[in-house]
Amino acid sequence: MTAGRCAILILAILASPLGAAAQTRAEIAQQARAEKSKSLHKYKPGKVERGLFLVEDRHLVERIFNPPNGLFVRVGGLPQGSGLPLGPGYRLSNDKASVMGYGVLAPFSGYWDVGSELSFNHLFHHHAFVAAGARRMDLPQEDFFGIGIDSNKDLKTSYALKQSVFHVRGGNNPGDMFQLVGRVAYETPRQRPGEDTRIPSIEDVYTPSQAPGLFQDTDFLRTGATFTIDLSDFPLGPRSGGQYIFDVEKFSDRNLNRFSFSQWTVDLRQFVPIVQGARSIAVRLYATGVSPDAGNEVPYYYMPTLGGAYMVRGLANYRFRDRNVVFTNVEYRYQLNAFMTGVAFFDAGTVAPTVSALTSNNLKWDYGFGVRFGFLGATTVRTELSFGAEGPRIVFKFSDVF
Amino acid sequence: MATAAVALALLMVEPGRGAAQRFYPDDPLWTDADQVFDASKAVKAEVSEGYDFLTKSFTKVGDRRDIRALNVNTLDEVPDSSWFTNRIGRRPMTIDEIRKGPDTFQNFDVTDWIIVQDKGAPGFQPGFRAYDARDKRPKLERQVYQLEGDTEDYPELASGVEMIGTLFYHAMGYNVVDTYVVNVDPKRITIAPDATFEDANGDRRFRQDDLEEILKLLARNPDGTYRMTASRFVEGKPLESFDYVGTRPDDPNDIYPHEHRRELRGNRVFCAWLNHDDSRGINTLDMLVNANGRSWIKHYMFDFGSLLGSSPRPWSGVGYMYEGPPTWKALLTFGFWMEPWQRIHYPSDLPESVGRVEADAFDPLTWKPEYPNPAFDNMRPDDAFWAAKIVASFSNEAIAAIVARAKYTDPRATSYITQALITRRDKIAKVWLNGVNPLVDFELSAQGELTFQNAAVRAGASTPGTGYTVQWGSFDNVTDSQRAVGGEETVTAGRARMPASLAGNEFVVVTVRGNHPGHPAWNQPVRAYFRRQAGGWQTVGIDR
Repeated sequence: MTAGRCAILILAILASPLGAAAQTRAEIAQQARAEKSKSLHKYKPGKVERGLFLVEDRHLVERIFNPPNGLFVRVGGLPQGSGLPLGPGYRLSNDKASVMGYGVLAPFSGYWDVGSELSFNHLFHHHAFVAAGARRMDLPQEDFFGIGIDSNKDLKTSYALKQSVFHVRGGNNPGDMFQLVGRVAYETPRQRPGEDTRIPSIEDVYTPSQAPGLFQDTDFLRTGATFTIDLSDFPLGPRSGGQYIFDVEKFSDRNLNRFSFSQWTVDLRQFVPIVQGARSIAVRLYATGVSPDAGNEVPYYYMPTLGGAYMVRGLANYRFRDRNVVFTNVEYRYQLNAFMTGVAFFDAGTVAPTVSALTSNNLKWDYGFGVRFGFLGATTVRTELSFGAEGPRIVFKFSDVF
Repeated sequence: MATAAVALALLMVEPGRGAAQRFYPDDPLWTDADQVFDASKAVKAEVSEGYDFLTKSFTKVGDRRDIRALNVNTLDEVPDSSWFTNRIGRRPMTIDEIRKGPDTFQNFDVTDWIIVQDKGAPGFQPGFRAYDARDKRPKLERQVYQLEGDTEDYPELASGVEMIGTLFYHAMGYNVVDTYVVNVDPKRITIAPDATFEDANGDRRFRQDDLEEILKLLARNPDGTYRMTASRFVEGKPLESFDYVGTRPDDPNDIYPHEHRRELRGNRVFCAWLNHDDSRGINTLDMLVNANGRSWIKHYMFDFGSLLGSSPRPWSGVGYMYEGPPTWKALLTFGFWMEPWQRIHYPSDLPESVGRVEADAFDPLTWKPEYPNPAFDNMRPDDAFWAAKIVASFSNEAIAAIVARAKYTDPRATSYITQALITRRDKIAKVWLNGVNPLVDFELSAQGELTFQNAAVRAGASTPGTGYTVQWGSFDNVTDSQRAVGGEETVTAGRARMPASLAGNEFVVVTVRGNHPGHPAWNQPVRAYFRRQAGGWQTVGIDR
């Protein structure tokens, strides 16, 4: 009941013969209560309130996108530039295991991905997991600009890659200060001409010497491990501490014995609170390199790349690629309110055939600003405008940069 | 038209503001009998946290007129009701009484727990619902407890403030559930066969892995046990929370709009003191109680786990979750424009059991909950004065006794929080006891000697001032009119003599103004009304 209705009720009582007869303060109140008791009704929420209540009470967001059991909507999971892959998924889980299957399609780009995974996430009292799965996906218009820091922006081409992946992985669960995850996967990448009709296909511009492994398909056995040290204050949207990730992986060519190589990656993230934590500086230093086995080459589609919304934002996705990549992101983050965080950033990176050739002379850099939406510093949506050597670019993503 | 009717109605019921009879024979009323009408048809409300946030943050819900609280008695005090019971604000409480709080059990010795349900509500604290394994009563009669622990990185933080909040709110006068700090041995927890766990698919069986997941999030004691708070489920049928605006349409006893209830407006002062930023309607509880053949709703304050800066929100107690102008200013200046609170220094050399709370920069006037609260917004100086009197009633010893029950392992936590609360109490007293004319405890003896106290001076929140100006008058209760008798006199202490010519009157009124160069509000008139009774005078009304 609103204050107005309640006041009118009391007025009516005071104006009534009964009200006039009240001899005590207590009687006045009881007469108001007697009058109200004649018109009791259940609270009737409006449509918006009812809708929001349903979303909260039934856990609808989690129910739609990530339920423990049943049909759900799967979003994303494919490489940058694929658009917004979307599709159905189904999960069955109990206290020991979870099995999940899904299929997503990005309608405008033609990317698709179907897969399934069986996982045991509660091993050793929730401290460890092991999972095995299979996946088949098609990436019909991946961008390729050539190899090296001097690659020409105008020589953009596309290639298509369809592959099956069978994997097993296991380790201790995220949330611990130290996490070690090992993995083994068998992949069958198969190339074909790119399907982006706006640009030439890769074979029209580049030769196998310029794009190692071009149309020379083989299977790979991948074995690798990731070690993470998480000293940050919050796993999502940290304001202090650091996250340090070290990864090694071996790619073994199972058919041609020509494309075996190893990859190492170091991803260091440091968060420094300033002004009592109301502002923070976030710095990321990422470096990765691949080394072919003797007499082997690294196929172009597995080479590290530089550019895109998670690396140097002023560059197009996969703008540069080579055997070694290093980049840094420096962000000044300022919380605007509980749901919005402002950011000003600087990115710089380069690629080179050898580690020693990674010099600042060839740095590609940008700067920009943006706003992130989420809660308590965790990003749900981010929009950024970056300015760099290759023109201004707008970033709109449903996840944090790092 | 409706607005005029509302205004008129409120004017008529507002004590001391009407043109009709002012005092009734039962004034001052110290009990509001709001448990008389049957509320058995009241049903559980469907409350959306998101809707609550949106409506309170972006609209002005409720009646925002600057009017006196509607549920106060003629002495400007809050009568006992289903909402509030006068405790430390009206009578002295012993330290033991304050320390005991709402406890049902003197020695809470549950060691074996049987889980019956998940925690039942979102929040930062992991937990579950369980009962004492020794409780062999039928299922529906068992005493269930809500057990909540501390997160791994902040041991003793939330459980400590939950205990502290419970005891303070009880002593202040609110209904709270009894809460105990316990150490739970994981080996002595079992899961009832019919225990339920709610996930996105709905209710299902509570499994061992659910418990393991909960325990994994909890801070663990060196001996392998988990420190948790056990909050007793009180008797009755839960009807979800009450709102800080309007009244329940299904409760006949609920006639005062909540934004105009003194104890809800004044709660802003208590929240500021304890930095209870999560003082939303969501964190309250309405229980349908059945007693003496009647059903009525008892209103509880609930969930104090975010007190004293224990939430991870950096704006805790100092800013709303969303405020337009600061957002735009910060955005457009790349964060170089900052609100003053963003530069507050919180000690970093304290144990993790101490949250973001401090006393040096604390400003009671600028304190804010998570998002706007209509009752808090409606708080007037007289509401704040009422609450500040209660805050000032807590002695240093009482505060220390309450903090001690949090059972912090590190004595630095106990001493820091105690001292912070003492300093914050003094700041509150200084601001809000001096925000009105702080004269209280008016008494008129049978011999015509008037005595009164100065609440601000009594609390040490002010020096005595230069004196008081006293004006006596006769009072006609039928027409609510008064006539000055004699001239103004100035006294230096809280004592004056009534003119002999008024001795035969049925009612007399005295108007007193304080004089203090540092507190202009003292000069506002306070009127005390006295009714002649057999053997003396009864203080029947206070106008502040």
